[in-house]
Amino acid sequence: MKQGRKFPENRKVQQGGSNPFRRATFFILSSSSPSAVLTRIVSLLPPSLPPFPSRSPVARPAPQPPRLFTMHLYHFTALCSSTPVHLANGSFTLPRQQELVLARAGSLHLYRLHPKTSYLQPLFQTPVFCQIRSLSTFRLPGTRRDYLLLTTDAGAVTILSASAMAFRRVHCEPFGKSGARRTVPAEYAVCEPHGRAAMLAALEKGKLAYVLNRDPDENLTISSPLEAHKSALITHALTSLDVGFDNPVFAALERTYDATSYKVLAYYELDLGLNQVVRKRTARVAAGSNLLLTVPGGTDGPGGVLVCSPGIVAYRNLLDEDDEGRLIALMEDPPDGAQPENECKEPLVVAGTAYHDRKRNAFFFLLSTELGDLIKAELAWEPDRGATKLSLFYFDTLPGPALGMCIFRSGYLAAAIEGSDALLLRFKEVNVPEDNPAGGFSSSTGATLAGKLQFRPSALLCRLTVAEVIDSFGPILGMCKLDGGGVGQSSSLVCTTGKARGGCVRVIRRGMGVLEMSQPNELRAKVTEVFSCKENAESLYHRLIVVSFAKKTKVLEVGDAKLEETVNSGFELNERTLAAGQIGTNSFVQVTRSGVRFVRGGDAKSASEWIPPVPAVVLAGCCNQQQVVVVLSTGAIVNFEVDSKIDWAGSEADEIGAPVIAIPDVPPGRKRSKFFAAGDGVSVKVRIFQILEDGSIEALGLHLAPAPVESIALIDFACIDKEAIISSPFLALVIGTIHGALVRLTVDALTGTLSSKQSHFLGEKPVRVKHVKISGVPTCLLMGSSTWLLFLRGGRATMSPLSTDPMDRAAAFALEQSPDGFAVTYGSRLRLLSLESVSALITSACLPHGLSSTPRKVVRIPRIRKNVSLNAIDDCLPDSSMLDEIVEPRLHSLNGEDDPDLEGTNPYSSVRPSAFETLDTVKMDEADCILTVASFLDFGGDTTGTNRYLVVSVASNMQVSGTAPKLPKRPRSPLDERSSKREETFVLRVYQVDAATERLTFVHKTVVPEAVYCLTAFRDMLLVGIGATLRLYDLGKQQLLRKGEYKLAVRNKISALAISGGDRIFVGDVSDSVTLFKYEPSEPIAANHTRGAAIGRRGGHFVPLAADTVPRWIVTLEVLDYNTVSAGDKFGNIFVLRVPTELGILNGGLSITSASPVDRGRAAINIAPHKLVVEASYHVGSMTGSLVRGSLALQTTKLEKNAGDEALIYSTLSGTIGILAPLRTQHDIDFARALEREMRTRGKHVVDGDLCQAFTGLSPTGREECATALGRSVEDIDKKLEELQSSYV
Amino acid sequence: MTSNTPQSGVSAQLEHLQARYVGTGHPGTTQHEWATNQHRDSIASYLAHPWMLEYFSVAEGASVGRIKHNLLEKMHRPCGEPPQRQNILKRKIDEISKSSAAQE
Repeated sequence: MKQGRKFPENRKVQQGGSNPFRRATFFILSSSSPSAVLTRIVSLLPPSLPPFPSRSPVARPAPQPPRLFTMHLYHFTALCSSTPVHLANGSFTLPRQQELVLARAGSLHLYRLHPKTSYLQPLFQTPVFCQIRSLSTFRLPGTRRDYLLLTTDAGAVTILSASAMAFRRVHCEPFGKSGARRTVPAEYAVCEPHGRAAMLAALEKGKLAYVLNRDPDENLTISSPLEAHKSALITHALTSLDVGFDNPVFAALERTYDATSYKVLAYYELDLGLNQVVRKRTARVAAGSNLLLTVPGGTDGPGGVLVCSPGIVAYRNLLDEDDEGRLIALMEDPPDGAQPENECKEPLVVAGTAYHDRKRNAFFFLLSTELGDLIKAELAWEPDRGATKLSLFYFDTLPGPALGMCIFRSGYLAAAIEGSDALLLRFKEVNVPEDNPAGGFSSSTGATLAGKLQFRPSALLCRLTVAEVIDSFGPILGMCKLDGGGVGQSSSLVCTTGKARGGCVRVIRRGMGVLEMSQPNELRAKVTEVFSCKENAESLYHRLIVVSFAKKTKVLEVGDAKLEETVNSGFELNERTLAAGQIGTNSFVQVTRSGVRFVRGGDAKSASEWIPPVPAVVLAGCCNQQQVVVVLSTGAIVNFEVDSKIDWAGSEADEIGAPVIAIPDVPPGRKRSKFFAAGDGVSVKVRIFQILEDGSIEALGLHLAPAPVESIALIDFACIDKEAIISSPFLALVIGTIHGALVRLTVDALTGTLSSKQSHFLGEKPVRVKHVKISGVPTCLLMGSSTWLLFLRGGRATMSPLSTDPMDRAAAFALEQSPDGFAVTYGSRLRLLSLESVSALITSACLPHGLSSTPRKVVRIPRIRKNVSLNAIDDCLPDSSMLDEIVEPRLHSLNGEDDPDLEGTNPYSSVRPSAFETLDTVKMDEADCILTVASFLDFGGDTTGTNRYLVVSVASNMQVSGTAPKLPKRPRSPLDERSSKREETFVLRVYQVDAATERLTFVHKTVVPEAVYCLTAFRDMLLVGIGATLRLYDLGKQQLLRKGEYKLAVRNKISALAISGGDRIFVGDVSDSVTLFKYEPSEPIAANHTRGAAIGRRGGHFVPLAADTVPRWIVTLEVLDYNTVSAGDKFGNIFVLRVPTELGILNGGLSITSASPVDRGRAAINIAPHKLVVEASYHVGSMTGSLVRGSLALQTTKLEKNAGDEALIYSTLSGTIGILAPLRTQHDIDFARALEREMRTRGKHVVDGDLCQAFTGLSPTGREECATALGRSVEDIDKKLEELQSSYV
Repeated sequence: MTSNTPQSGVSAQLEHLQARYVGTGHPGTTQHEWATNQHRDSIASYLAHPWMLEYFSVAEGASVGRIKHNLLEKMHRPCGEPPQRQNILKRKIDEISKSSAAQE
């Protein structure tokens, strides 16, 4: 029986489901059984389905129309863009430090290089809330720190200096309109090498010069801008000249709009005396010139510039030059600039950097070509004759073309690489021998060409070694969601990142990365507690692990290679240990039921013991570096302190029945911790106690936990071992209950009162909390159904899950090789773990080996956990000859040897995400490129659930106009004739995924008239957008069978499809927004069709319902609920469109409003009778690659996710992953809106969460002012902000 | 015409605007000029947004640097050379003479 055929009848299933967002999940194919899948589709249809967001799932009588709520969204960035856009080096925070500044989309990052350890330390980052268009550094004469000069799309030039903790704005001078405009001088910004002036230039016309100086108080001053505009002039590049201390001169590559114009190198002199800019001199350069590099001048070099053009690097110095420039060719063609036909074939120099050693007065240049080759340029010069010889050598090959590079004086190269991770590389050697085999050639003065250079890079990176990798995810082109396996698991995103050789499939999920340091140790009994001890108070690393069992104790010692059990440590081994630790200067303490054992100096023989008065026994204990507190069965609390002589000072106090107890670390510079906390196992009371000067104990605050207490921890976040960033104590009480709740409270450091309560539910299991120090930083491990780490971040206690197996007992365990390690047990297994980084909120795993071509799309093959990543190599190359010349050699060099299988093919491979093994690769023809892919379970009415299909849209000989300038017509050679005869063909290829071998079997192909850019499973058929035609296909024996069609469904080309509820189709046009169609089956399909009869099934037709009125360039669509769709456009907007209310009310009777059959398929203009309503819109700052619905938060219960716990997750081409979360209550909307207004406002119905988050970074007074304006307390706002995010990430 | 008549004031203002703001139209703007101006604006916007360059780069299989270079080169004549008025006139005359010859 086919469940899918019950469509029309089965509408009333699960009316008013509590979670529409969930129900409408398009991710249906992932369900375990096929029938369940279809049932869920059916349940999408209830007419009274409340729309997204579901704010009031109140049961309503059926006939009433649904109330459509206004949608409000809260936008925040989950993973900041990691793709560098600009980079520069200098000494920003302190003199002589080697620091790197990286500008990424939306943030500015500062790193410090530690040359001895090859370590690039991230110092801090600042969100910029604008787009940095250009970045330059300068240093005022006589100073030793660099400033940063930025031009942004805010229309202002900003000068920043860096302090130890943050960037500081020195100047912000508006100069033009905001936005990225043609004539606003923000595209190029350069500073004079001696820091006396800066020039900004626009793409056209605008040029401004600023004079930088110091006032008598040594403050930086910036002059008002001096104009050097020249209309009808394009600026191709800008740099400054090194002219010593003469008037600053800037060099620009320019071309006017005249028909007869040619490209010139123009010198602009800024006359500091007259305060004016003069276009001093111009000279013609090669037509394709695209890059200028400053050559050191004054006394250090000949001055002038290197002019790079395709295939040619020329040295020019107009100040003392005859008309004939000194040229040198990079490749074999002569340096005749007037050859646009050949220009494409020449490698283009895309980035370059100069290194200048002032002490030794030597300099060289590194140039990166568009293929990723590095070329070293050396300029020989004589002080009286100027430059004499320019030599070029092949230097090395990077994984991709550089976006920017800079060289550190300690011998490191930082390179931002296109579509790949940014690299810090160490120079193994700098000098290239003149007669090196890789080739190189030079030109003496006057000579135009010295020889031929043919690069044959043998291996990747021969003169450089990778010192550090800075992750870069951009561009994220495809993304799909993988649901977590169950409780304690979070959903993850599978993304295709990077480009070309940097292409990669990564899994991104919530949580901090944890490394397993050793094989698990099986201890053969259930562990009741774990403790670790250092050798003495000074040592950084731990030596002993004390493992307690129900009736005995084991002590493990760090041996040469592994942990070894030791018996003569002085610990009592035949009893259960309640607490243990290193105490005093070099002693150990162990609390057992029979007493407190004290091992002086680690000497087993000198152990002494305190025994409680008979008949009392010890029930619980805790210790820190100076104190031990135990609870006796009589209810008495005994407090011990160890002074330098190690005498015991005990005192008895108040009686409570307290089986859990915790004491924080001793604050730095003090002798004891003032507080401890004790909880009552029977009732729910947790009390804070104060230890007075005389050793007596006083009860202070009391908290009633929501359930009986499992464990407690008291953490002083200010007790950082190395440095005291926060001087005042920040004491937090953490309570874990037996029912899985976690309560966090702040303890007042003076009075011990408890405040700022925050509760979390971690799952059903009891929550164990344990205070651990990771690299000397106090944190708290929270172990329940899932494991979390509580730590201080940005002055706020933050919880982040650890992506690791479950654990129930833990202790810090620092070793030399893993300073931030800990020892954990689960049941009887002991494991040693290490934290990858304390600050990372989201970690990613990636495919172990990169892909050889740009991965475009990733789709999930249903049922079996498996992903298919689609990588189409450079599919839209203008002609195949370019493919031969550029792509092939790259593949050779990448693999180190010839690999014929990879040449010019279009492979796509199946990848299993957990193990990341490639299951199968299908090779395409050289001329083919894959446009899109979709996968199915029940294609063609096959409900057995065993046949999974993959449909791939392939284009052959596709001609793409591209950005390259149109070449003038020329007589065709016979070769060209042949190539031009190859026609463009477009086919849909169907593959079957074999259940047993998990390989792809080709089934058949179907030729379609136009390119197919989107495919989607619709019911059990295939919905395709072919050009402007919407077509429905069924699986046939020989080819796909047409079952329905709507010609000219959109105006231009269908770019995206999204299915809502099984009968509605949102169709996105490439430039004309979204049209909603309804599918009407030709006749009700009988429910008892057998499988064989499926071939003869009737199709249906489409009826346009509603369209948008605004032209939007749709890239991706994702359905939110039956009436609502979200879309991303080409210009960085995400918006939500909703069916108008009247349609929402009509629901079942929609076909009444549809166009008559006569009109059907006529024209794409105004075909829909209704208009879609924009519900929310927001600019996310970069093109959205894909949208998925879901949540990255951990699943805490076995039930389905809490109602409405899904948000809209997007990925962008800049490598950002962000979230648009529904604001559920009016209270939340008001709060977020008000806070944003306090910070600043923008967007429709979307609140900028990143801006709201900036609240936490404000100064204390700023926070206070902001809170006062909102009528709330600062803590309240902090808490609320965290709540808004934590449900989704 | 004296400069203080209101009309000349307006035209002077327009001229000023045209000089100051690139792309301000006037009654004599040809289709080619208008389209060229549009294209230049678009190219300038692409160049100013790194993700747009990235998008083209992925689509074309070329490096961002190459795309940037292509677009900048295209700024000069994004819509090709302007049609020459004489040529248009000549073509029209040819057409007319042809059609009249056909009629005969």
